[in-house]
Amino acid sequence: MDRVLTFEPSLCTGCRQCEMACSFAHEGVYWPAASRLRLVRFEELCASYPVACAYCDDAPCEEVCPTGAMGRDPSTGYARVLESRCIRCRECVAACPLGAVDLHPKTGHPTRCDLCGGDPACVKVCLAGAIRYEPGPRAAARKRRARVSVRSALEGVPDAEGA
Amino acid sequence: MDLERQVSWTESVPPELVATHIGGRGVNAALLWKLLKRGTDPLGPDNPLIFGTGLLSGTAAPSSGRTTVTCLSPATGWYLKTSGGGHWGVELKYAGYGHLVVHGRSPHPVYLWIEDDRVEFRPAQDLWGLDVRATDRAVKDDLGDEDIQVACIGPAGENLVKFAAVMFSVYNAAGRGGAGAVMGAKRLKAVAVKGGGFVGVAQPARFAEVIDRCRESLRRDTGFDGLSRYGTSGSLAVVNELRALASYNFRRGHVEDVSNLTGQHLSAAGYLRRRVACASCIIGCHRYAGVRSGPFAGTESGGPEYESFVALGSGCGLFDTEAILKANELCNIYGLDTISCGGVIQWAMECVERGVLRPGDLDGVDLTWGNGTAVVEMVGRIARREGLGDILAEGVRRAAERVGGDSYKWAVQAKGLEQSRVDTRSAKAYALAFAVNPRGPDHLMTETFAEFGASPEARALMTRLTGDEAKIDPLCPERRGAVVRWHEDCYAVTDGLGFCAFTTTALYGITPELMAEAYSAATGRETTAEELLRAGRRVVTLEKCINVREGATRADDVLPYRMMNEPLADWGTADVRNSQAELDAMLDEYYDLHGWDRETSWPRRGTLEALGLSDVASELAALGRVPG
Amino acid sequence: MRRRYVIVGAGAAGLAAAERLARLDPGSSVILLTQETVAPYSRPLLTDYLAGVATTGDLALPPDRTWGLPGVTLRRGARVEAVEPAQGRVVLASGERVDYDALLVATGADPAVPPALTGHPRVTPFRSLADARRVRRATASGRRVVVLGAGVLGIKVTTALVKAGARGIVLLEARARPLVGVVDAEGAVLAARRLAQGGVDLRCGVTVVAVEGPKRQKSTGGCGEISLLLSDGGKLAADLVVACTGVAPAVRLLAGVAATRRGVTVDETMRTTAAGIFAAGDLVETLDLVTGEWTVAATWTHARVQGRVAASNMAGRPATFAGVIRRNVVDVLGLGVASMGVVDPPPGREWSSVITSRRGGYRKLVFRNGLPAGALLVGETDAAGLLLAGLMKGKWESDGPGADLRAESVHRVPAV
Repeated sequence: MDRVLTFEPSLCTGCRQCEMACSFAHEGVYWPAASRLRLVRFEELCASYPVACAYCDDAPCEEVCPTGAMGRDPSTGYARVLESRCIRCRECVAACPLGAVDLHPKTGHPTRCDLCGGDPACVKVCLAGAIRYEPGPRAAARKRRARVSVRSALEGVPDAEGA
Repeated sequence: MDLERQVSWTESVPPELVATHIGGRGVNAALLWKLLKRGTDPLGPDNPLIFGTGLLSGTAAPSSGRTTVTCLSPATGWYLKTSGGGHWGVELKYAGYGHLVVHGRSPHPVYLWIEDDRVEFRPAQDLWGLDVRATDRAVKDDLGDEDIQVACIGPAGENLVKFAAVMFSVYNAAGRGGAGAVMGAKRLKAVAVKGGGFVGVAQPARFAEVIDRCRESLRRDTGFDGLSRYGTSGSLAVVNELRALASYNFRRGHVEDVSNLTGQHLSAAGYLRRRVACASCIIGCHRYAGVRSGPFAGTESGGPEYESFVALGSGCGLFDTEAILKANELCNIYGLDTISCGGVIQWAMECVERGVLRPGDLDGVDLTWGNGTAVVEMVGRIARREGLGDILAEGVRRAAERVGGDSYKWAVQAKGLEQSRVDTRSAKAYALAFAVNPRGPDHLMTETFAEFGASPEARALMTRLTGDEAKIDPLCPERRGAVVRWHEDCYAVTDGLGFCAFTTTALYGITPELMAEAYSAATGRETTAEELLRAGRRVVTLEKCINVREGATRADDVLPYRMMNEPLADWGTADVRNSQAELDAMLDEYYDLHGWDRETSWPRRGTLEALGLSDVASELAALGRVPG
Repeated sequence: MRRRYVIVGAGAAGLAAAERLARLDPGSSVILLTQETVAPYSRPLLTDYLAGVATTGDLALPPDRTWGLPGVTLRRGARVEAVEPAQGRVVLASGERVDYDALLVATGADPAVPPALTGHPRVTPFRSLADARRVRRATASGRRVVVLGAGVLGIKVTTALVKAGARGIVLLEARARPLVGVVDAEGAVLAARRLAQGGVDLRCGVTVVAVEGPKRQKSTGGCGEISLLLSDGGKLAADLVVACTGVAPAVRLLAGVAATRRGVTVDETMRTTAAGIFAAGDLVETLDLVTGEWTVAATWTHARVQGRVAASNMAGRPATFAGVIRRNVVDVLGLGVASMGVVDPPPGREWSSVITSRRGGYRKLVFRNGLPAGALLVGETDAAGLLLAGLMKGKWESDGPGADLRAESVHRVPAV
């Protein structure tokens, strides 16, 4: 995968537009419970953390699936769930270390971020810039730069603490 | 829900109501008209407490997640709608409900748990007495789930403080008018919701395209960046320059240095932890701020908002950011409306200055102007109803009645509600809006911010409404009826759809035309902006009728004593105030425009019938309150 | 005495009438006059020809069922100039007169090209086989094509062009959205989206104000491109403009002879106001059974039925044509659209809609005073036939496709 979703939780305002966009793109309705990208909320801290499939190498969810329903499109690399093969054993949910594989609230089949075929819907609606679609190293570079320049300008680091 | 019998049931919102009253606040009002009996005790079991989500809440329409709470106000005795943000309403919608109507009073403290089809009445004795943050935590622990949304009251609501708030998602207040006390009187501690469902629209592709345009339109508004980056308190300095910053209990409109009270300062000084958004909002004006050092170290809370900075800060002569942050935090966790809370405290400070309250009355709290520790202490005492706090907890009207003398003259309230922090003496459209607002002198039903002409969009709107660019002057009292009327209608539509008023009447990116397109695509029913504004008009008229039924007349459409009798300082020799004559002229224009009788302020029969409110007319006619 | 029937026009109505007359009145003479020089062909298949999936042979209509029947004479290249009802004859351009006992005028409709473009050598309508040939040649040689009009024909032509391999097509529409009268706002968004996905540059609210060129290219001596000046101030380069901007009923022959408004006025037996003269097809006005208004319904299937009804009455066998229910089926670059009756109801208490939207399909049923008045299917169009049958009967069965409520999201829009 040359590009993945990267997250900057300190920028996330918790607006949930990403969950709405994802569910709308996949289901045609606004259904955060069916979104492939989920926000972890810490209500009393007003903090929110987006979580979605990280496209691991040797993905545990794919390895553990007994029927081969959890896989990727061989030509594009995007995740693909073959529902006709899925037996709803939920091993994939247990195997994913991030909790990024969830079950569809109606069908019970696993849901997993498929990057919308290369044009992720969530990125387009995140005005806060908390979700981007880019090569992995770029996110780290940006974070380093933000911290260094901010630290020199102000007393403390104004974000990300306590998140 | 019936709290007395502990039963719950569901009803369908009649589809006609969506066409005539839209949703949210509008449908709430229709329900209240039907369910509320004349002369009900607001703190009694028969005051219906109605929560309403916007019609579009739960969709990705930007900033459409607002929730309205409707009931009879214990502070004023009049109609109350109060709105809040956060994420609770949207969760209720995903659970499959647009509105929650709470009847009766529970014999014991109770909280409601709604998870899709499942509804439970759960004991809340162990929650009673907990602050809002602790309540949110306790409910989640009790239910074993972090991903639920909680609406609750804090100790202030339990103690029936007249300005207790209903708090959504911990820090978002449906603050004005004492809805929290209504909830407390019902012994309803919290409503917890989890929704696993969805919201669909009739024409998804078209809806998606319309809301894309809404997003773009909002982003292009010149005020967007400022509101997003610095929050509502980002405009404090500008208002100070306009000499409209309510300071020292509305004695002054301008202070030398307001910088400590601004959103810019929150960011620059490192108090701001992060920007926060309500459900579906792309602006993200809410703040989460904290204090790391000094006497108030450890303070952490959502906010403060503009009104909070002015009510707890400049209104009390207090310019210490950290003290204000602390006072704001306490208001949040006790569940208090910051506007009214600051309002009563600054009234008390003036009482102390004028010797009406003596040291013996203060229980050791030094209520002098600018004393941050005192402000912080009083918030707690008000919430707990201790000593002077018990008097202040009744709201400034009743407190002035208790204390007596001339103290009513500086009780800046009308109808029993403390005035929002806009100085109406130098903002005439606000003056009219505040005088006629059914819930009291408050900006959150008619936000005529445009009269300051602070942005090109505002100026364009004012020119259109008054027909004359020269009338863009907050000191101009002419054509204010037309200005107020448009804002009333637009705000009612906004509240009906669930939009945040910041998108329609403070920024102007979401126009009535865009709202009509979104409504059409969502419902499949083609509707124009005119028809939608007409539905807004219907709601505003119905709200007035609720008050007429309770006995309101023109005599109630007034402004606080100070606004009407004392000229605003800082204007030199000009006599800047809301005189009776000036108010009368504006009221006459307003009533004429609305088709309401000048003498009584009551809507005429023809007006009611033209809006399809014949049954309302009949009921009022039986009371002899429908002029021909 | 051998009855003489004359039919002007060998399109859908004329051919259907000829076939009917030949069967009902075997001893009669049926003369079919057409100004076309080629044998009659199926007009709806012209876009298939343009797309390259049909040959001219595929377009030809089998003569043994129409003009090849005994008693029927097809005269090609026979343009009729005038009708002389008092003498009971028509006058050909050659001066020849042809007598009739009963006359059917089925001259169809002519393309209505906007005035700014009329007569320009690089502008062609899309009505006849000659038009289709010209566009196909241009496409094959990689010329830049601009299509005017995003109505049913314009969309069909665009879809065919894309299928034929054309790229960079610009589709201009004067109104605010495509397929006005055929789809509602949601359908328009879905269609526009599909066109964009297919690389078609759809521009709505734009007309062509003027045409410049073609400029002669000195080097090759050939003709260069033309330049279209647009109403939004823009300019567009093109080699060929295909004008799909509607049709005007060809009523010229009957002007002054029988009553005409936009189309020829006929009753339900297809009689015009002139004795012995019938009219059928794209040139007549009939009753829209849903809206109750008079309309010109330029559709092949309606024309066929009208031709048969006219023929019946011409042969002395009473038959009636009650009116039309507008219906269109359009393929928008692979997105199926089936539309019938009223799909975009005006404001009013008597109208209500039931909308079902789910992934892959948008369906809207429109009711007037509780009775079926129209239906729109976008994406999943299987149920169109059943819905049309129900619309004609005046009811949709409660357990048929009209009441499919298994969708995840159903919106009942009431009459309020």
